[in-house]
Amino acid sequence: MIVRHLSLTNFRLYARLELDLSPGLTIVQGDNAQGKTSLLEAIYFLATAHSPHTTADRQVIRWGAAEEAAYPFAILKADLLRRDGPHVLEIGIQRAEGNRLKKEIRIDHIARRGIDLVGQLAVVLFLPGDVELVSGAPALRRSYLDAALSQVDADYVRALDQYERALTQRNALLRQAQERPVDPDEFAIWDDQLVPAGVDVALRRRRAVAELARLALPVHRQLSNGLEHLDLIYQPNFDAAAPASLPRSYQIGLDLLHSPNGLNRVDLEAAFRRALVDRRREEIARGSTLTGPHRDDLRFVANAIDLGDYGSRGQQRTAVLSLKLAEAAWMRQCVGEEPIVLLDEVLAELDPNRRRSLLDHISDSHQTIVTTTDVGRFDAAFVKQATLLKVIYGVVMQ
Amino acid sequence: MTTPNRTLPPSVVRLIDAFAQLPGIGPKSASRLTYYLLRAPSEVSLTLADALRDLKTLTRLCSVCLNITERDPCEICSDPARDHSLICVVEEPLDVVAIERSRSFTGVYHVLHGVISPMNGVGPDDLRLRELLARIDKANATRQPVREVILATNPTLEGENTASFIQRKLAGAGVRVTRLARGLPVGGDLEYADEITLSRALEGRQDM
Ligand SMILES: [Zn+2]
Repeated sequence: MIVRHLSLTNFRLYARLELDLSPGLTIVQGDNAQGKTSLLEAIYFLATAHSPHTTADRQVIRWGAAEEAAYPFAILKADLLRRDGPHVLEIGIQRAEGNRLKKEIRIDHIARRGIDLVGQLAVVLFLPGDVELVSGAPALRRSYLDAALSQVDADYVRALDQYERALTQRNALLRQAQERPVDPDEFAIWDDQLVPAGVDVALRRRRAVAELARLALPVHRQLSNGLEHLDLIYQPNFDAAAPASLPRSYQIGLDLLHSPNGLNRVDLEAAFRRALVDRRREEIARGSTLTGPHRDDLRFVANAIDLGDYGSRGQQRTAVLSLKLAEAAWMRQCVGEEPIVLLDEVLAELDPNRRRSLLDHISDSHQTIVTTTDVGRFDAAFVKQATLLKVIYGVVMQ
Repeated sequence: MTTPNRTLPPSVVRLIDAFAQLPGIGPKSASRLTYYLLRAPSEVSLTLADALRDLKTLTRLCSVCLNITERDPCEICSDPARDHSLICVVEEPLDVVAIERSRSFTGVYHVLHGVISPMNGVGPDDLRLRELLARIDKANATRQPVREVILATNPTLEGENTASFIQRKLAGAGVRVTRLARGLPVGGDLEYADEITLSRALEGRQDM
């Protein structure tokens, strides 16, 4: 699939933009803070209805639009060409009263819900800070999985939404239980929502990670010159094979995680429920739910070494590249089309060898958009096959 | 946000602030409403003022079903033609209006005045739930026991969970407990469902 045309109104520093995009490779050149990353962000936003920076949805509305209108708004629109023909995606974002943010989604000019965006536009985004996915906090890896799955699996979006709402309510109840006696049935009703949704989330994540691991293995072997065997391991915070009261250090034993145990829904639900009951007292004291997929993790293991804890920066960078390339292949499987590949300043940090490997892997992509501060860093042959765009403070020149 | 503006008379500021406390009305709408009233003939303001005063002085909650009424028990609870052994439990008085409009229900109501929602600080004791259980107990001690309780809370997460909490509390009370049939838009409000959808949901109700 490709985006043929992108229209932006009040998005980031673009007051107004009408931009035709070509299939194949596009290089967007510009100094820092001129708006080249915002172009990639806009395409990502049209695919997911979110900014790739999880906290930044509110800030996508152009600064300055705030002074011009009572309720400032931004509009993003993409003309797509998919295998099933041309389509139009449109997202309106408006700041509403009470500092809320209203999003309006239109697909082929008809108003739709957020969940209807799933599968409409598939993108894989490479960002300079991606290495944090390996070395940073578990929350980053969970949001990565959430974002990737949300592009292709509508049932996942539903389960995650139900889980998060039940979790918020249950945590509020735990805090109330510090101050008033709580009827056990009050916990039971939220647990009844939390458990099946949580198991659904964990199972779908686990299935996705298994597939990503399978696809990442050969990619990583090539990127590491045949030296490294990469494994991606979904690390649940509870496991049906392990009694809930076991300390966490035991639960993360790699053998246990590789065991086929705990993969069926009934066992997982029972284990989850048992953990909720067993840890109730501790949960009330801490005012928060301690078991569930909101505490799961994803580990990158190469040659039996956990790269998050012990990998070199170079190893971590390569692993994340392998993951993203696997994601592109996985998305192709799920959606049945080539995803659009967006590379923000990523090529510059790679040595020529890895750069060639990366470009080689995405050569099937129907549309790849690369940003750079200096087009001179690429060799002439690479630049020659690309469409060049130049961005200077919110203005794009062909 | 509200205007600590020295050029505005205190009575104007007071009304703007009063409007701004209402749900769904921000400072801008509050000002617009106030200026509208300033320009409009004084009957408009006086009628509104009377209506506001009567709203609180003439109405109370029905001692049986807790719906809002001017006489106690309310019209529905004191109507002998209605089936008093069939109680439909709803979240808000507006839900009674919606179901009555569908003309498909001949029983009586019980208004909870909310749903269980810990994040909004609402627990079972903040609802009119104790009154429901007492009402059922009391009726079951007479010759006209409650046959069926229909849980007609909204199909939202909180509505569903409030229904299942009530169901847990009624287990063993010897009363049939049913839930509206699915078909109402999920996450939607009863209040906004059309009459046909509502009467279908009532007819197709299922045991919990
Ligand atoms: Zn009544």
